[in-house]
Amino acid sequence: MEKIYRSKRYIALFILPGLLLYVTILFIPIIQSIFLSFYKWDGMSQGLFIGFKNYINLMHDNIFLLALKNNFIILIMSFVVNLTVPVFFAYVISRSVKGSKIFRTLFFLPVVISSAVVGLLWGFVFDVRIGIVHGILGALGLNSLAQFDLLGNTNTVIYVVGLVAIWQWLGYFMILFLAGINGVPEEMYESAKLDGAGEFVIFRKIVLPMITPIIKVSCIFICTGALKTFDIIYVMTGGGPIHASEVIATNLFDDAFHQMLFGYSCAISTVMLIISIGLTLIINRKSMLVSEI
Amino acid sequence: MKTEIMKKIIGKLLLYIILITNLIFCVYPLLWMLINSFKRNNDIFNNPWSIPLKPTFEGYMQAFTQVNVGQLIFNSGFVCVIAGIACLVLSCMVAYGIQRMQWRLNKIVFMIFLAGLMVPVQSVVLPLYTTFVKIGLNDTRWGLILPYIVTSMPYSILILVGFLKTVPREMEESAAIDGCSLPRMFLQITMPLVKPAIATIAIYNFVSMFNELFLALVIEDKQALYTLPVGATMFRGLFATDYTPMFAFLTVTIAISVLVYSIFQKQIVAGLTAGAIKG
Repeated sequence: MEKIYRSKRYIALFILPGLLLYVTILFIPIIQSIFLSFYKWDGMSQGLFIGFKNYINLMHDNIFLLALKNNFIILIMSFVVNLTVPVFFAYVISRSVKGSKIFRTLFFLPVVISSAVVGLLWGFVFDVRIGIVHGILGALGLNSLAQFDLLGNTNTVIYVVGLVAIWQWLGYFMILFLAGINGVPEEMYESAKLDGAGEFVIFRKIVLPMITPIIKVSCIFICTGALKTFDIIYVMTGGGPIHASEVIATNLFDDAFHQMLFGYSCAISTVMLIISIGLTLIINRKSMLVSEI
Repeated sequence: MKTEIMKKIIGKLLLYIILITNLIFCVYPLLWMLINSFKRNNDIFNNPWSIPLKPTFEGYMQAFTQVNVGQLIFNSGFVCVIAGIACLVLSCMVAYGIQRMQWRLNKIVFMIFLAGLMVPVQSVVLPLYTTFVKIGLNDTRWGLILPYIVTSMPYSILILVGFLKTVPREMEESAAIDGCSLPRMFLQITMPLVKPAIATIAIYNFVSMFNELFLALVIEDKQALYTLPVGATMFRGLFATDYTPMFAFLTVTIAISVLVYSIFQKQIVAGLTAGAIKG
């Protein structure tokens, strides 16, 4: 009977179509990208081999370094907010607050909207003439602040953009933590209460340890997500003003398609690949995924 | 005794206030957008928060005629449905081959697919784009469909393999003893048992592809092939300060997402969290 599971013909039938498509469209371009990063190339004509020059230039490229810094800012903002606020909300909701279903549904809603659309919407929210933010400031009488274009100011723009990215994913992390918190058996709460523990202590000593694995996974999501940020920034500011909100992905896009520096962009994309793989491996050192077979 | 009850009530009240504040934070921008989509430009300028006295569909008409939102929706829908189905079929087959079939290389192949989870799409897109241009794929919808299939495969295969582990082999084995061929076993016995996972992945993939921007922006050069997110990037340039049609566009686009979400909420949430919680 086992023979049927070993049939080479069927193995090939099931695996090859998917594998071939996957390798062709994902793996080969990655290798090409790494290869091309050593060339000076405009995407059309013959490239010129220049060795590591692209990478050396990258290290001195102020815009790229600024982009890296911005990615890092978004990362820190995401870490600080997305690992604390959603935990709090998840805990509150799990303690049988009435209407929790509505809260869950509505908090999660921004996650299913396209990031590009989210960016467009929030671009209007922060619009100086008609936006919500400036409307509120005006209504509070802070007229001078109300005229302050948060998206047009090189100092504030990256934080605004980071805030929008956080807005979109708050609900996601909340649902994640909620699932973890719901895994805590009710008896533990009761016995803790019998021992006279207050809500705070219960939270710290019972709930937190149980959701630690989810916190770990969330860290990976936050890291890789912060690295790949593109949609919101591209739509809200295009990387501006004057590159103040540039991130690696927008920088790559700009260098490749506006300045026709394909080889250089490949170097950027290779750096992104290295960072992404590195981050995933570091946080996930004991990867159990493969043993799942 | 009394102070204890008081504390409890105040505590609960505080919690509700915080929750509702966050709710407003999450939902109000959407309401604001909806209301404004029915106001003329002047009204928006004068008082961005009022409810329109004379609601108008002007913005919607402008959006649909000048930007051809209908075509954007069609392109997005078409690409996502085709890519979604293809990805599902291929992923099910690969997952079955990895989890059920017995051969030495299955773990390596699994790792190859999982490695895809670590790859940001930006690392792939440049050579892919130039290759597509050479063979003319960037002028067709397949230029977008193929990459969408491939980028969704790793996660789909991960979920499917995990789920397949929980499906007992007994039914397959008894079918095999009765002389059932492998493809039939796969189609008529195993796959029906995997339905929950398939529903989850199908919806999740569709939503992810529908909302995707980067690949769509890079690959499709012909305006007639733009997807909805790409359309969103065009809007600011096209309409400048003509806010009404832009709000109309936003409302339509978000309404589609909300509709899909309200019908498939369970699957979407499951799809987005399954990988995280299992891991």
